[in-house]
Amino acid sequence: MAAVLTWRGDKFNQQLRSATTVGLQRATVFYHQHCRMAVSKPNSGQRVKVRRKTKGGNKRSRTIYPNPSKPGEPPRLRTGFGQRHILVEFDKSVPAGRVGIAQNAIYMFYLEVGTRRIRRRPWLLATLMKFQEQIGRLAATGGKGEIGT
Amino acid sequence: MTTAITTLEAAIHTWWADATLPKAVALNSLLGVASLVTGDMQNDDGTFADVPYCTLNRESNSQAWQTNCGRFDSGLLRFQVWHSDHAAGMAIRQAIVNCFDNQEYEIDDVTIESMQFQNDLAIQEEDGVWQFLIDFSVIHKVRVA
Repeated sequence: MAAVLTWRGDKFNQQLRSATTVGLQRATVFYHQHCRMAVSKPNSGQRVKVRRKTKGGNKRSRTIYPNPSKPGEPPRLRTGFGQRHILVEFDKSVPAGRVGIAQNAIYMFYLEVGTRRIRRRPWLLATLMKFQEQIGRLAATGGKGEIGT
Repeated sequence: MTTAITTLEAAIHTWWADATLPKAVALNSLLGVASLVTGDMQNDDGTFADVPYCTLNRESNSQAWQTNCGRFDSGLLRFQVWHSDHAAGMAIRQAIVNCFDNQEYEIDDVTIESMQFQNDLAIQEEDGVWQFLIDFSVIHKVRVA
C-alpha cells in the first residue's frame, strides 16, 4: 500500500504571511483613526472686541480659545493642523506599521510628553493603551480571511 | 512614626535612595532623590522648578494575573529627566537604566517583580534645556492588608 504526501507548506506560509500583513494593516489603520479622534474635541475660537494699536492700525477684535484641554487630557482642536499631521505608515515587506506625527507638527509631541512649561496632554500612548485589546485582536485575527483561500 | 510603603511610585523613590545598592548609590550621587518627583515639578506660583530634576509617572496600569500569592499588575513607568547639560543628562539617563533595568525590588507591601527598559529619547526644548525620557515596563504586586 502506498501513501501520497502532498506538501502545502509553502502555500500555507504565504497565506499566513498575507493574513499577518492584513491584520497588522487593519490594526495600524484602526489605531491611526482613534488617535485622530482622540484630538478631535473642539476648542473653537471666539472673536472678542478689543481696542489696541498695532503697526497695521487699530485692531478691533481678536480670537480667544476659551475651552483649552486640561493637563492629562488629550489636546483639543483649534485649526486641525496637528490632527491633520498625525500620519500612518505601513511597510508590507516587514510587515510593520506605525503612527506618528509629521516634523512640522512637532508641538504635538511636546504635548504628548510635556515640557518644563507645558504639562502633559497624552494622546498617542494613551490611545494605544485604551484600545490595546482591540488593536491586538485586529492584528491577530484581522487577516484570518486570507487563510484557506 | 514611619508609614509603610504601599504604592509603586513610593517604592521607586525608596529604591532610588537605597544606600545598600551600589547602582542606586551611583544614581543618587548624580541626581539626588530629593529631585525625583512623582507627577510634575511645579511651584506654587505656577512656575516650574530649576533643572536638573526628574519626574516619574505611571503611563498605564492593568491587571496582569491573579495568583494565590496575590494580584500582579503590569504597567509602564516613565522617567523624565530635565537637565541643561546634555552629557550630564545622558549620564543620569544611563544611571537610571543601570539601576532599574532587569531588576527586582521589595519594600514593605510592594514587590516589584521585574522592570524592563523599553524606550528612551532625548529632545531639546526651546529654552535649550534637554529632556531625557526613559520608559520601563514593570510587573509589581501590592499586598492588600
